[in-house]
Amino acid sequence: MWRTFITGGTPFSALRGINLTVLPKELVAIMGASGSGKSTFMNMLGCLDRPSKGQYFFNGIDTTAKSNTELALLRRDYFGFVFQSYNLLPRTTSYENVELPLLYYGYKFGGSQRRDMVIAALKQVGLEEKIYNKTNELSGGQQQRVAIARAIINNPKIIFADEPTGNLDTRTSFDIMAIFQGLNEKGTTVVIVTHEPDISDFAKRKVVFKDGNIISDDINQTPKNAAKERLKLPELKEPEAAK
Amino acid sequence: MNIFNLFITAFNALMKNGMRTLLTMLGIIIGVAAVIVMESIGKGSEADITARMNSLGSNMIIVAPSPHTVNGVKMGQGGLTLKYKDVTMIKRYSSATKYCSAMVFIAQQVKYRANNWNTRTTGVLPEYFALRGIWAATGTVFTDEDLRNISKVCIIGKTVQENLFPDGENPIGKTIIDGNIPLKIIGIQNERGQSASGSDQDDVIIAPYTTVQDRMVQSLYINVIFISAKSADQIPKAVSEIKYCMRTSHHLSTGEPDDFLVRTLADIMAAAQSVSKLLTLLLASVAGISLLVGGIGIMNIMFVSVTERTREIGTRLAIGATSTDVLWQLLIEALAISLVAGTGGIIIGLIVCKLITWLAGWSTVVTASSIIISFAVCTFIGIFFGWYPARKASNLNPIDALRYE
Repeated sequence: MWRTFITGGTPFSALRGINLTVLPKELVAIMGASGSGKSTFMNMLGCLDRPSKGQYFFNGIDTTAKSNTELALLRRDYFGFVFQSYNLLPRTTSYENVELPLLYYGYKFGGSQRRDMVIAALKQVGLEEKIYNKTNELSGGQQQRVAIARAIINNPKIIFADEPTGNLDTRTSFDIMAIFQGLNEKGTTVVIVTHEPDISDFAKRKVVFKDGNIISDDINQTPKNAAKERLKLPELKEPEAAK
Repeated sequence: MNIFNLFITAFNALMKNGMRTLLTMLGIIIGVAAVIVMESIGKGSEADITARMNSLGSNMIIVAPSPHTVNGVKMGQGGLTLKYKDVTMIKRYSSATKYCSAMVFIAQQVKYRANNWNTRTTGVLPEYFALRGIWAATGTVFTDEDLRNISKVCIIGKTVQENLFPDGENPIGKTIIDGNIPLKIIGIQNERGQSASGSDQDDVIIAPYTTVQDRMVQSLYINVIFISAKSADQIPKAVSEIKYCMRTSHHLSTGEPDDFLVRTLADIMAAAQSVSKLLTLLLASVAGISLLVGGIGIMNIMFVSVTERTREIGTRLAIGATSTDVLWQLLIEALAISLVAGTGGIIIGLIVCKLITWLAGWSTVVTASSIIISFAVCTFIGIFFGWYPARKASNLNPIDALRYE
């Protein structure tokens, strides 16, 4: 798979002949320095962008031959996305954000059914008590959990997370990773783009990118358990004045 | 996305930018209100003109002397060519004519005790009352007998009453001095207000034709002949009959020009209404321009909105919205703005119309068509000006939209 951008008349290839197979129920960490092409690659996998050359098969379907609308429906039915900056809709509640993907199913889900699904999804990320809070009233970690709830509400086959812990502190990062590990154990394939080695330690497979090529692709024999690692972290002591 | 959810989504998006939405709407609100107000003022003035014309008398035909030339000197309007025998001729030979009355008038000073007033004394036949729709609000009008007897009686208009009887004394039975002829007041004319030309129709004394002609004017000629046709569609027939009678009576040979003018109210009304229609058109087009500017305002805001919400649109596309979903969402937002604003504009327009009638005393007529047209225009503006920004948003590549800073 190739992806070439043309900026200011000069072509630049972000991906240079990538060949990779992700199997069902894997938890893959895509690593690499900034500019290595890892995000571009994830966008290809998520059908947010199209390769300049080459093909991408999802579930045995050649996505390069699909129209934009067909790709939109593919994303709706099979994919969940988590972004570094959460990308929640401004001035809306957790509920509205999590419900959003269901609205694009037309008449498939009725109001009460959507409600049950939203509550279930928020429970899964441990945020059911913040259901009617506006997103700007939530902390970064909570916002990311809303984003995850939004990504899992359509019961996706695969979740794509682009630097999901990039804006979060270590504790919250581990919490988020624990959620991803939990989803993965229930059978959802997870692809995480990260440049933090301790995050990638939670993955079952590590793929390292450099300059648009894969330089290593290893199975992690001993993935760490994020929930357990979280408990090992020392509690932070806040100064009295901050309380 | 189903239609119901599309509307909810659009509505929520607009409510989240309440102030901006309201300001956007303002252009349309003002535009629509202006269209409705201008249209109703124009229509109101048209209705006014029609009503005033009808107050002159229905199916009315006027015969007046035409401008004539004496030894190369053009004498202007109001020459002396009409005589009472013309009236007799028309009465006898014109079958399409219902009423026919001669009219002579003289402007002079009128006195009652210490009060005096300059007004016009009009001498007419008793038919004149039926012809013009005049009756005695109090008292009575004069009869054919008064005409025969050259009776010194009259009926007066309200303006004359107010000036000669300022203390509220009952004028009926009192004798006024008109010029130097004493006239007994037997009736007060119903209130008639202004004529189409702006003259006060209540500033008048009406007396028998013979009294005014023989005792005051003392001339062979009459000023005007008032005629009414039997019905509106008899007017052309009556006009040609009148012309024939007049030419015969005036002994005009073939080829000689008419020394009189025959005017129908329809001509005068058509002229006045065409002016008023032009005015309506002018006002409506000014208002239309403001509506257009309002529409451009919507497009402007929709563009800002699309640019500002690029990331949101990207997120929606990523989680499964198709470009059609995005297109519809933004189009419905634009449509909702213009329709809500249109409704507001109509309501404000109606209120302003009422205020204008109430405060300025202008008559306003709000037609259903102006409301329907404003609404249709708003819908059109919403779709037309919303389409381009919506189209632009729906064509965004998801990843470009997501990366947009």
